[in-house]
Amino acid sequence: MSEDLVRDVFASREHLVDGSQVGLADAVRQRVARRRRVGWVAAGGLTLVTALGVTAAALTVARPDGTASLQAPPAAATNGPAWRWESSLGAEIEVPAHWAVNDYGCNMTDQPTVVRGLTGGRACLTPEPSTKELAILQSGPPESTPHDGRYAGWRASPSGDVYLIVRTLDRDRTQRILDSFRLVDPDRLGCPTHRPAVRPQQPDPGGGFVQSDAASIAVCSYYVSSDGRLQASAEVTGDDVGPIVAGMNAAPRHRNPPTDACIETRTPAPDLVLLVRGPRDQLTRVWVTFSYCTGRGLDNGTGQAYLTDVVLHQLMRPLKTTYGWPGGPGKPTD
Amino acid sequence: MGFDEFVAARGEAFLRFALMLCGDRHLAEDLVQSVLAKAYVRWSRVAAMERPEAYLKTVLVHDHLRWWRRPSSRELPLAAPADGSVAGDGAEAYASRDAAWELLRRLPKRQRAVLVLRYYEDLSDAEIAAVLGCAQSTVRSQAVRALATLRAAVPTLDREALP
Repeated sequence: MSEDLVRDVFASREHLVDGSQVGLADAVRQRVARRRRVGWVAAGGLTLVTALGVTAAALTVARPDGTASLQAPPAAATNGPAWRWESSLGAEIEVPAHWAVNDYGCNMTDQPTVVRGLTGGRACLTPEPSTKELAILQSGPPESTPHDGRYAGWRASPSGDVYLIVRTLDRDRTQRILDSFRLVDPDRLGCPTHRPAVRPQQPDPGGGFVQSDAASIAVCSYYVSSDGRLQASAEVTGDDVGPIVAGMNAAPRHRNPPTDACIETRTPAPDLVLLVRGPRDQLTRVWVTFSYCTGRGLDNGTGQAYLTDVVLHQLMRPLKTTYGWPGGPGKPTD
Repeated sequence: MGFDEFVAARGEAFLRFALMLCGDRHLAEDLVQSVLAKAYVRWSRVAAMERPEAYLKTVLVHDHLRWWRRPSSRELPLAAPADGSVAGDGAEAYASRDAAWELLRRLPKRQRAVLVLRYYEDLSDAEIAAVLGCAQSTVRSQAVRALATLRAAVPTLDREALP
């Protein structure tokens, strides 16, 4: 291989980042703001412990004040990154940051959207607007491609049984989304592609069901997955973390009672896996089971806790997928 | 020059440079964002430098060489599904370039960095040594090893076959 060839090869790949500088400055500001937030969480926690001179257990009580200190990130942080990542079925793609999630199927609008982990709602007659931009991650190849002037394409990983279908109004946008398609395990949030089969094994978080100073929660959804693959994932950060952590820590330490709304024929398995991360990235895994008739509730590997419908709603909301809870939470026994 | 102005003017060049170092567009974007984030918080000092771009490229090279899996890059890529086959004239030539690109990606990071600085950035060995913080003889030996590895792996790869 000649030295000229090395030059040629480098030059031949330059186009891969064409246009990538759009939104770069905003993405940098977002990253700086994120680092500052993590720093403030750590600093806020340290300040509270020092000031109160008490144990970490007391931090749970003081949490609202600590959370308040996370308010008002730098103004630049409101500028979101131009693109974001979405994952499903072991594949990951990049889509414009402002795109909606699962605005597809019944009653869909003409707004751009990524479609992943959509459990229902396709079997109705809402027509797909010819101006709609979308990227779909699904199992099974596309049935047909409408010829309506949009730039359309698809990628396939037949061995992984995951397919990406893209239709947009811009050739470069379609190309960039298609080019971003890749197989991952785990995904960017740490969610395993396949539903874990072994209960979490980790030290007792101490004091609470999960660490009370959690900074983020990655929600990995395997809900109604016939083959146990990851359907969708999302991350809860900032002020939304506190109420979820407080809800889990305040829950009675027993599972939800079995429901008589159904007869169980399956072995209960987690519908969600939570990756609860502290300010120094310490991790607590929690299984959440609710779509079965038995074995329902929260499990952190060292114990179980009662799952309320409020906490479940808080966990499902960022996923933007539909869900049902046969029989509801049932009554706690204490 | 303000931060936004600098990014608008030189952002793409940085991304291309990072792409050559990493061999992956998404890693390149992550790396560039990481380096620019460091610069952003002390931009007045960076902007006051005689050659801010050269400084930032040096930081970028060093960050790349010691980069490991960071929290923002937790995912583990398994495969990048190939594009559809290229039909028509030139398909073989493009395949040759793809093969060469893959070989370059598999080189050790430091050897690849030397090739990028020498053949993409057109720096002299003395300038490369200054960027990497090593002797010129080390730069030469790294380049020789890298080219030898490539020649050994693709003895049949024909320069003239490329478009």
